[in-house]
Amino acid sequence: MTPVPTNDNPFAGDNSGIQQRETAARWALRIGSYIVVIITLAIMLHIFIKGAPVVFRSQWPFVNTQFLTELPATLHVIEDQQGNHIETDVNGADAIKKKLGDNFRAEKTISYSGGGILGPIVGTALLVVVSVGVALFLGVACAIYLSEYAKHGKFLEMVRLAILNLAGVPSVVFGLFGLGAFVLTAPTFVDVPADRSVFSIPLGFTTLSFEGWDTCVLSGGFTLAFVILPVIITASEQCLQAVPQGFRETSMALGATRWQTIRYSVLPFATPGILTSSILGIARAAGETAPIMFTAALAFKDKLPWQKDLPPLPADASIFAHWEQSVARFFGIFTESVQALPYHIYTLAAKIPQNEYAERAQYGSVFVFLVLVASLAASSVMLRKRLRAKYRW
Amino acid sequence: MSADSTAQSTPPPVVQVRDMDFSYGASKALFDINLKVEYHRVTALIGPSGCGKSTLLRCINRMNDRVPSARVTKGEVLVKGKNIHDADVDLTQLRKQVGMVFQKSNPFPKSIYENVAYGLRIHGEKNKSVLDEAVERSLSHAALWEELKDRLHANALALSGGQQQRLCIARAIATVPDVLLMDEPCSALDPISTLKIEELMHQLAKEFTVVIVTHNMQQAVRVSDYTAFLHLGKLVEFAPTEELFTNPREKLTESYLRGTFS
Amino acid sequence: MNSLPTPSRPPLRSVLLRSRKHTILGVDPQKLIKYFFGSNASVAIIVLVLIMVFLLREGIDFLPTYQRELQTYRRAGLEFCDIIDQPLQRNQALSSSLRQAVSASLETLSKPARDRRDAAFLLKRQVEDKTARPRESLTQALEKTPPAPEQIEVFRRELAEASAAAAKALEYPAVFSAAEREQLQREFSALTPEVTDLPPLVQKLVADFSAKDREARTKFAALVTAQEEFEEATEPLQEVVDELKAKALETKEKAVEFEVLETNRKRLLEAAATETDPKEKASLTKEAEESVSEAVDLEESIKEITGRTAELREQVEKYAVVIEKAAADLPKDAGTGAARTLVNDVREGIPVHAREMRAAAGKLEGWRWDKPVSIFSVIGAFFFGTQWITNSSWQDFFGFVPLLTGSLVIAAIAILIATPVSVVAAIYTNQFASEREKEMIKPVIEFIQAIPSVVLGFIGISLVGNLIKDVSEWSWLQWVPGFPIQERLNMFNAGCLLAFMAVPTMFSLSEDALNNVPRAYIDASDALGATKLQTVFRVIVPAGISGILSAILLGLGRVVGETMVVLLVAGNRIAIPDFSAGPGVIFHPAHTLTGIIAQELGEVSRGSSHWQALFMVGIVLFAISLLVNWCARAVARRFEPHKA
Repeated sequence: MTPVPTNDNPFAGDNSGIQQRETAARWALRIGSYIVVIITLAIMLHIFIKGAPVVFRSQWPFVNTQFLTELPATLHVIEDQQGNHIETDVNGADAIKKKLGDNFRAEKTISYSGGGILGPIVGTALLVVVSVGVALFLGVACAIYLSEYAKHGKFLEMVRLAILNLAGVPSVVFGLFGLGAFVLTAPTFVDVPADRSVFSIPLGFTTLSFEGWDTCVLSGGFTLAFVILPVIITASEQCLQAVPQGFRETSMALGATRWQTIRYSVLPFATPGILTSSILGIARAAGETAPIMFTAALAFKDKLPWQKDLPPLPADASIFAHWEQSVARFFGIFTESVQALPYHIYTLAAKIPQNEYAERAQYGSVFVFLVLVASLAASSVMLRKRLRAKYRW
Repeated sequence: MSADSTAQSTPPPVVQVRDMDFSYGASKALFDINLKVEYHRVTALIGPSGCGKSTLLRCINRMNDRVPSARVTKGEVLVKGKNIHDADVDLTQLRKQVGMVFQKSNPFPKSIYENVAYGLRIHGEKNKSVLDEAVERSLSHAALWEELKDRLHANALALSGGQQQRLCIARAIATVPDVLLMDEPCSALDPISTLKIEELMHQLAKEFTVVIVTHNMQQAVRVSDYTAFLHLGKLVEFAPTEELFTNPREKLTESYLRGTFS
Repeated sequence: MNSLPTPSRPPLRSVLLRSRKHTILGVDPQKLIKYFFGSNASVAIIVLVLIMVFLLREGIDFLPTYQRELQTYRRAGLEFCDIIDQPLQRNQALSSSLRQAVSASLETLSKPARDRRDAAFLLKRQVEDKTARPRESLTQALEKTPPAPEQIEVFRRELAEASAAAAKALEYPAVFSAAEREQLQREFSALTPEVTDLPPLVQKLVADFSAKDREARTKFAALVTAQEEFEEATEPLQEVVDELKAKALETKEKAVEFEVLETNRKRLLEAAATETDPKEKASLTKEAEESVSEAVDLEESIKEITGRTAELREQVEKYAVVIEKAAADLPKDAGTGAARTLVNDVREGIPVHAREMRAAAGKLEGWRWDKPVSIFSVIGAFFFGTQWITNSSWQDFFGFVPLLTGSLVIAAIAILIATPVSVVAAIYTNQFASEREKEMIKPVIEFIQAIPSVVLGFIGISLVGNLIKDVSEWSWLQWVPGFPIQERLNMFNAGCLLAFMAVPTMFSLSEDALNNVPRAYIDASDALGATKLQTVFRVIVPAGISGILSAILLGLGRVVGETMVVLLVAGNRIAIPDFSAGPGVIFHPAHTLTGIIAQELGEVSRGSSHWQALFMVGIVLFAISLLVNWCARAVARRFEPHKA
């Protein structure tokens, strides 16, 4: 009645090929995942191979300083009778043509492809500063509320839903919003309100007019701020949540108020995390194109934002006048429209024909841009890992 | 059951653990375990938490394999006379014949029918009538058939906790294993559900060999034929249940049973 | 007792016990702080509402504006002309098919001769290209006054050398015999700028071709005549239509001008009404009165157009008869199988076309110029309109369908590619990969998220487009529908890149979903003797399916909302993709909802119907994104058994 064990192996595997199927499926899955990895690396490699030679040099100082420190310009390619091609800028073109004389054969101009990319780099930096400033202020405050004050209820649910939905809004819709809200409607102080002003409040010495800020760094920065707001809120809230509950309870038990608890027992421990995560926001803000298309970016500009023509001061101008002008110059930076790296790349990719001369500027810009954005993202990830190891509660 | 009758019965044990040491990486969890589990008997493993009773149980179907660095460092485990660590042992076949029920009921988020049929399906059974029959048989064994026969295709997660655990038992016996391992199957259940499962256990012992881990000594008394007492990774005493509870040989066992344990 | 505070320490105690309830304007500062943060928390809600408000503010006027425009379109008689003109477009498609059939047929005879001629021309141009520099020098020297014979001689020699070298380096195709090759090389070596006549052998090749072509034309005379007949048939009708169109356009322009003046006048009057200074008021009123212009008598001009209905109908009838005859005259056989298919298509297409034309002519009578355009028909014209035409001299149409189809087809391609890849990668990384593999795969895939979309768009233009085109020309892949492709920038290209963009989102969320599958399920499956693969595909994946589905939906949201990649890569042709091409349609260019906004908004003036239409598209996009988000949440909740 009881089965008597024999010497046979009662647990012998059947040879129906299960093992082979397992291995085959495992390999199929592995290949599937590696395809993504390989494609990513291939794209990076392609950009590196084509872009690095533009930015780096084999001789001292090993970096193409011209490409990083000059403004974009039109590239002139001059061909002489011997079939040599000389690449130069507009001034160089005249000189060379004069020098070549009869030997001159043809001249080609390629827009945006000469010079360097200082203008776009500066513009992107300004946009990032404004947007991250605004987004950090709003985002961290929102996160503090969600993590420290909010009680379960309708309001909290609505806020969470809104954050989720905000994260899903297409970037071009943010662009439309920025155009409608900041470029055309935001309040500003003017002497005489423009026609398009929605309404204006006279304040005596000046008028608060809802007529918008025009396309400028401020408009673009604010628009980008709302694009990255969900990222910042979510990351900040995670950092606040990671501070152990015990810290708060200890503080409250000592009779501290809610705000004192937050100020002294929560924020100090969450701040490093919040800042590192916000680097991810910087990377996102720097990479977006559509929101700044109508709010801040220009295809071409031959001046840096602070090189604005202001009326020259008389020789005997007071220190105050100098000071006033410097202030005007400083604030002027934010009311100028700028070139921005992503928009510059869009211009280079879409508005000029593909040819060997355009490639230099294209791949150079893409390479620099990608290195900037990728190193920001990577450093955020790395710092976060390190922080996590450091603050292990 | 008395100790004499066991000693006289000729058939070899279905599970035999010989001089086994087991360790997780550097830390040793079980020391020199010797254990014999007879056919169609209920064997209970008792002991304070952390004594290694669950680990021992999981050695029998090699569930510990999934923990990296966990391994048997000495001795052997024989199931149906075969050393289960031999190279020619197919793990899926072993586990098909050594079923297991977990502490917390864990039905799949599928229908009741699919839960019970799962084991047969993965072992290649496609015939609908065979599956139907197996589902009915297993559910009847687990005393669930009458309750559930009208809603076999309802989601298993809609069942009550006790029903879920019995469903898990049905799922485990659907492949007709020789041994059924139960890892504190009642610890998460209310007294009534516990009672039902304990009743079930006697029924199950008629067809299967049951090894049950429990922290509840009364339960061990109620359901088991043999009891093993483990402490700090060592098998302190292994004897027929009655004997162990009424007349423990070891001092340690006695103090544990009396609850004067430090 | 000893440990009790001694009486010498009350200051600290009293400090600690002092109530710290200050108030600011009667409000507890703690509350103020809370409200401050609370109001910041609502910023997300406020922004969402503001987005809606500003989109609506700029976009909602679109419907009345477009209604007015369509009204004018009707009243000026443009719609009347389009009744005939729209179906008449079909004529072009038919005649182009016929032309193709004719040339394919002619080629059966003339192709070798033509190939030889074309090859000779190509060779000649290659030589000329290579010797362009010395030739230019020589030409300049020749034109110079006074001529410098020595210089000319130098240049001439240089050119001769260059030509000889170039002619020698040429690769002569096999269509030429050895003797011909030699002669061509000789002739090309002797090319000079003064001689404009073709070299003798090339001339002969040209003549050969003409002879063959004539011969072919006689052979396929029936086909050729039918084609010519068909093409000429449209002329009288087109003439009438064009006349009417000109008239309608004139009326429309007048009407628009009148409207502008009228609006201006109204504004002046309004300003006058609110003006307090009586002098200003008087001048404004005067200005307004002066600007009163004569209203266009639409009825009068529409009568001129509708008055010719009978003539138009007659012409349509004539046209229909002529083309039907042409269809009957079409010969059964043509030069090649392909040509025969084309001819057959045309033979079947013509009666359909004729029927359409007659039906259109029938509609002319029922058309009323003063029938008002209802707001519902405007909504229909936007959401179901099949034409997006802007900056047209005839009439702007803002039809949403071409953009929506483009967006949807691209999104479908992207999701179809991205879903298997990211789900497979998630399953592999989560269940099979070793720790080291995980540490390699996860950061790389997450890194994709950091790549700005404009960079991917650029990659699409510079790398992927060429890659797809090259691959599509491989001969062993010609069974793929749509190969070889015409356009580098097309929906498939955009779909691939968007798939790449969507992978990190879908991968991370799917992996989370798999990670959240309770350990107990895996234990149970393992204990029953399931293999790893069985556990994964029968337990883990089904249990995580809700998360995976919601990941796919969120990926879809990202893909539909993406702008830069589609703007750069989709090819930007505003037309409904030609689905009759079968699956090969994915290699056609298209335009998208997001792309159109990015491309056109910068170039339109604020408040114009075009501007408003773009904001309307924005509203729809916004609605789609909310909908997708909602669906993703609903799906995640719907199948969340283990959290129940």
